[in-house]
Amino acid sequence: MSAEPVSTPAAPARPTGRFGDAGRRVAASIIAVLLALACGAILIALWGVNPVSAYGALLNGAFGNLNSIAETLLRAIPLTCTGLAVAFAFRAGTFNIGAEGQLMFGGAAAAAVGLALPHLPPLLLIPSMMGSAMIAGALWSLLPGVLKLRFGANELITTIMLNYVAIHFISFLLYGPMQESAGYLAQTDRLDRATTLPQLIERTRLHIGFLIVLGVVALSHFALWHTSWGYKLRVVGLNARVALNSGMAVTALTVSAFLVSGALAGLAGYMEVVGVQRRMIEGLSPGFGYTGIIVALLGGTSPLGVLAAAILFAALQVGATTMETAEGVPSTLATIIQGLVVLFVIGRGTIDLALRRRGSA
Amino acid sequence: MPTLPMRARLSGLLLLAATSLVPMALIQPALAQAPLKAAIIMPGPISDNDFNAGGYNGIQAVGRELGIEVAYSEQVSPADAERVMRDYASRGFGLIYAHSFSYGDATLAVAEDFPDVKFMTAVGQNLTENVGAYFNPDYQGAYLTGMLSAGASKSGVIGWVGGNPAPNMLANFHAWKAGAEEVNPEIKVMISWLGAWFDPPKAKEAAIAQVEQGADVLSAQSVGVIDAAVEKNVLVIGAVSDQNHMGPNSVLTSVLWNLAPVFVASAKTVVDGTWESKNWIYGIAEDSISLADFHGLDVNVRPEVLAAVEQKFEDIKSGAFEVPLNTAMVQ
Repeated sequence: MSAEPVSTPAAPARPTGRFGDAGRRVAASIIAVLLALACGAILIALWGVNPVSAYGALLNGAFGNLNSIAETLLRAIPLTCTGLAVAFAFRAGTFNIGAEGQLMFGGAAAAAVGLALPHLPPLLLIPSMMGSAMIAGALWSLLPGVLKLRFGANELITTIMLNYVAIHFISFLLYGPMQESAGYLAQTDRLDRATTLPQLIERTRLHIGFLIVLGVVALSHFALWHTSWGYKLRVVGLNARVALNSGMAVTALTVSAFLVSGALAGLAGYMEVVGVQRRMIEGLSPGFGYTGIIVALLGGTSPLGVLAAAILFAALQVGATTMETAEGVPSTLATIIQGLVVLFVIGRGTIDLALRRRGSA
Repeated sequence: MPTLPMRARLSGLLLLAATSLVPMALIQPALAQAPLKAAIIMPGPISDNDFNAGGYNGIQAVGRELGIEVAYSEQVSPADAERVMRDYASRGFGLIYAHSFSYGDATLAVAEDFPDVKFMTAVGQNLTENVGAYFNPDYQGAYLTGMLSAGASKSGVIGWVGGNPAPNMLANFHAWKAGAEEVNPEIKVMISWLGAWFDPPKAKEAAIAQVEQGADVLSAQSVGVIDAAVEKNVLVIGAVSDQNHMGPNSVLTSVLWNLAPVFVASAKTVVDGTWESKNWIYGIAEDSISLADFHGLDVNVRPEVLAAVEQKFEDIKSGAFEVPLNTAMVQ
């Protein structure tokens, strides 16, 4: 993240510096995506398909009719949650590569509560399912948080390794105590219709969880930029020593970042279980936790940016199916294009620098 | 380049606009009354020479024989199945084959929202007005290969490796065991579930474990088992297509699936409007299930067993013998 205020001779301090930097960063993000798409076009052409018609099919598949728009926004729901999860951790100067496992715990907790208390009125049941998912995700992320603060264990490693622990533990639950009564597959029984979230658009899968996520984005934005907690969190992220010397409770702030991060990933699990699958299943997440990292990076770790990046990645993934079936472009190529976006986003600093040079020239 | 007069908080909205506003213009009305289009979604790769290849060949036959547009999606996870089927249904596909037991939920959900689209599910549990099922009675073939396995085993131990305990898999296992027991009532039959439909390394590991416990003939109900048989130099029964090329000295025979008859027949009824929601079962009698060539490996099977298998095949075909269908759970 280029959030730290660098002062180089090429970028003299200006009163409008902050806004200029932000604008340039957005431009750099967009250029990174466009470059990735251009490289993808070359690969598609090498495959023997016209890139224009392939990208046409991708756009059509992602936004071409009401159903595809709904599907894109539906997929953006968990991606926004995991993207925010990673962004909060980044802002506090830590890495959360563990959103995948936290998501699985959140999903399992939501399903467990929904199945255990089916007679609770929906007004009580829905918040308790959501709350338990967020608590489960937060508790699972607390583990690497404690390991980091108590033993100095690198959270980059602990969070990613704990993903595997989480995924296999959930599999154990789904083959064991939580398995459906039919006993065929690794999944829980189906949740009652009353526990699920109402549809937002008729005859599509988009549910009101999308509105909840929009609220969460707004809340995150407010928390990061308009509360003293958010301010302190950002100071800790930029320079923990400065924060410490200013008397900030760095340990508590770091823990709070882990908790918020895990809760948001748990929320993603809730959304998938309640809004999409209507039960907890093995393989609930096709890598939402990992894509969340890219989403957070591309979105510049700002909540609004995360939302935009999540919709972009959702569109890429949803549209890829149509590109595969309509144009014969293998879906693995779409995965490669997503990988290219990552590479160019990582190299965004270079683009940023180029823009800066041109700006000062 | 001049500095862009934008605030940080607006940065996200810009991307949002870039990704969502432009393509809105592409919205188009759904096509009505167009010629039938058929699609299939499959859990694994179509190049597996196995279950997914069977589905792929089936849909290609539909395209060929009916001269209609067909499409397929491979490697669709159960979590993604509903999205992919909705995509097809909303793009005017009138017939969708959901080629996995794990797609049950997803199919029912999409079918509810698209009452004009016909769905055919592999081993479907619930039939509704527009959801039918095709049940491929490969257990009929499994009975025969069970007889062959017992007739070829020297250790008296044989092993079966499969994905998840779905009814069709259970039927296959029980029939295989029953066939083996008809030849050798003392036979010991091992079973391993992988907990996944497509996990070749895990399948290979499970099969090797069975060989190490004495099994000398395996039934490969999952990709990876044949690899293990080749490595451990034991005989193995293939599935779906003639898998002998994957182990010329190991694959005794394969239970061949030909999904073309049931796919083509069901698609024809959709075209002429007579489609009905039911269990479509096409087996040995309909030429949908058969055994592949032995490729010379029948020397490993006792001659009297070979003759008995041949007779049994004819009996099943004529209806004189009905392979018992047993889907009781086995862990």
